[in-house]
Amino acid sequence: MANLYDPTNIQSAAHPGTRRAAVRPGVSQMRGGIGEMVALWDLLGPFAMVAGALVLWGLSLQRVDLDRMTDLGLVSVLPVTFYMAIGLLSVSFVWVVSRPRMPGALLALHVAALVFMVHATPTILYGTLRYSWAWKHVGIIDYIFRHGSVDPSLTALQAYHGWPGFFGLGALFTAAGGWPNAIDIASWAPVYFNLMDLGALLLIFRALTRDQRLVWSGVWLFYITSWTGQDYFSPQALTFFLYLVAIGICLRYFKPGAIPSKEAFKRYLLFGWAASLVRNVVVRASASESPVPATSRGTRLGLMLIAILALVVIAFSHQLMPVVAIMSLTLLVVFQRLRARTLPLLMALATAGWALYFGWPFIRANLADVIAALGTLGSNASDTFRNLSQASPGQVVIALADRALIGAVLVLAVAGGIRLILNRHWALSAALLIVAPIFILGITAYGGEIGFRVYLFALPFLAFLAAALFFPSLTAGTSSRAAFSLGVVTLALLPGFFLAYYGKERMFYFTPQEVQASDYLFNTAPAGSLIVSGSDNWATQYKNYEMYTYVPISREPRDSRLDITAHPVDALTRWMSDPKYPATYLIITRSQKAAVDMLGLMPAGSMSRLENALRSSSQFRVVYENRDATIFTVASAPSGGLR
Amino acid sequence: MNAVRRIVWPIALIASAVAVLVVTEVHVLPGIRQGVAMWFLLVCPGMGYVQFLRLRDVWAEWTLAVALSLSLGAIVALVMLMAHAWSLRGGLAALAAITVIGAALLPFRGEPRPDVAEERSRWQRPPAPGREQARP
Repeated sequence: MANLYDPTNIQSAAHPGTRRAAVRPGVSQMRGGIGEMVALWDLLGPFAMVAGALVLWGLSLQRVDLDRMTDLGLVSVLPVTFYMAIGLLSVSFVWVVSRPRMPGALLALHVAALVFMVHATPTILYGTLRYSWAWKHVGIIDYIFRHGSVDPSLTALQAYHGWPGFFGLGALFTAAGGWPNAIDIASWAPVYFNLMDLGALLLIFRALTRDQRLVWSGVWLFYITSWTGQDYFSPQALTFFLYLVAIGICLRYFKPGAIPSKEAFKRYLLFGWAASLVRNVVVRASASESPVPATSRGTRLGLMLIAILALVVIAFSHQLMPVVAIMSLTLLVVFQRLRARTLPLLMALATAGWALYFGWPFIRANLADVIAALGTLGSNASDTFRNLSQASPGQVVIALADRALIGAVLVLAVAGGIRLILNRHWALSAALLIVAPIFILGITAYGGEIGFRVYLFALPFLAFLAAALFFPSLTAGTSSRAAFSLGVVTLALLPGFFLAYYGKERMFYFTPQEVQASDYLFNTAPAGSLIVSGSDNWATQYKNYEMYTYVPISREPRDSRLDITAHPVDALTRWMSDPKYPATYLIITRSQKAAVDMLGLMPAGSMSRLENALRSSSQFRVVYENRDATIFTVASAPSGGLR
Repeated sequence: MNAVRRIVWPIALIASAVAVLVVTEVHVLPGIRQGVAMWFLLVCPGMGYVQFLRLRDVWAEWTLAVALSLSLGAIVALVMLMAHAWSLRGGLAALAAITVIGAALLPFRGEPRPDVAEERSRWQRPPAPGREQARP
């Protein structure tokens, strides 16, 4: 472990590349005990503040009553000491990043503490896996364990079989660790994926600037605005990390050393003025970013191979991320920020090749939807922003908070970009990588999530530009005013972040009782059973998933939902008496009710009314129940639901 | 640092490869098995090759080692899935072999040439007339 305060380990923020004395000049001139105390505080203060924040955080977790969670999610039950802990950590970070001496390891400690405090909190408090989709991903790994392969022709969760890279890898991790399933490993995914992203972010930001204050402030702002929750046990979390690494390698090691002539630009821009303009921007951008480290040809070859492998894994692990990677690499090549000109083509070939071979069954099955979404940029974007008229009041607040947070990040990034330009720095690469994901808006609505995915893919570079608002050049931002501003902005963003990130936890959290009910169901339901649920938000499809037929009521056509709402017993008796199923079940859980009510999927209270109607009906029988879940079957079925 | 790269890392990587094969075959405490497996799969397959590149940047080395290890793991798993032959033993054996090869290469990596810092790629040649060299 390097000595953090070894002068040779410390770089001056304002003068990177130079070394500064370990003792602050002002401190060394102080006399006697006060000077020594200030020096000691300078040395130990940040450690004490990080330790204090962690202790405060640990204590606050003991006072959380999850049963009291409202529509504002975890925000409604976390004690004030939790927020004080994050605030203390933030103040400490701003203090360290603004000092002339700023050891990277100490800043990394702050970021790691932030990641742990934010992302380990639900894992520790719940003791169960959150997000229904994470359970489904566990189910794909369960399938691999049982079959030794995947089957792209399966209709249930078909996309995962078509792009199975993450699941094959997850199966290796799970089996190697000796776990019977991937639930344990999935529970901690947000922590380790975010920690992995830290290295990739540093790789990118260090390629964009030599100012370490800007690098670390960008990292910090990324983590306090990354609220979309795509860091769970999922293909997108893995491919996002690999995407950042591939982009980091390109930006850091493969920037062109020379800029083509104006004539060369004119060849594809046609107009002389446009060629001059773009070339000027490229020249200024080249001068602004960090120089390429001296490397041998063999090293460059090795680095390129790592980038290519990462991109290939992206191509067979996710449907959307390859498109973002292609667009990003293409823009970097076109604007002379990447000299590996064939890399976008290679990625396009890998993506198309995989999609047309292994992914084709999924694409063929969804071709009509894919074609319908093509080019409908406005519609795809607006799908992201749910109609709030049906949502619960708490969720309206949450939705407004996440939209405000996106707006704030955009404003800060634009302001930071302008300040960079005023300081004669052109963050062209960052700007291109913000623009690149926007193209996917024209391809798909992605289940109404596409706008948030665009935000996530652009966020590292938005955060970088936002940080440039405080540190626009190596010589600017050295006053205490810059540090104060960064601190104020951090503390202003945090409430929005917590509302947006923790605000849906009432539905993302599955109580141990709910998980017990799911365990009962999947341990007893015979193969071929019909499993009806109030919504698809429950611990589902994690075991023998392909053996059952799933029908979430909230995803049925409107007429069916109205029928069930008006005549629950008759409608469900018809559904669940179909002789083609050896057994039929209806499961209603606390989290299903929460999702239906919070998101307005059906009229508020629908699930509770449905449950009460079935309980009082002689047509249905309860086969399992606990505090948070009830499982029904039709009364004519033999014990256990078997017909 | 060179001694670490030439001797300690190869030994650690080969030992990790052996260890992961052992702990998944014999009964050991779950915590030990999980720790060894996580360490091996996250770091070892890629670390030998990344050390070979001599990047002189610890952050970059560890990040790239993890990315390369995960990429190699995903590719090995994919090959097994497509062959309808996914298995823990097969996957770990393949990754252990990749790790051992990467580790075995390290002692043979030559010292960096004194002029490596001055080496210019074909993109970094002095600009031709009409082409402007980017300022560092």
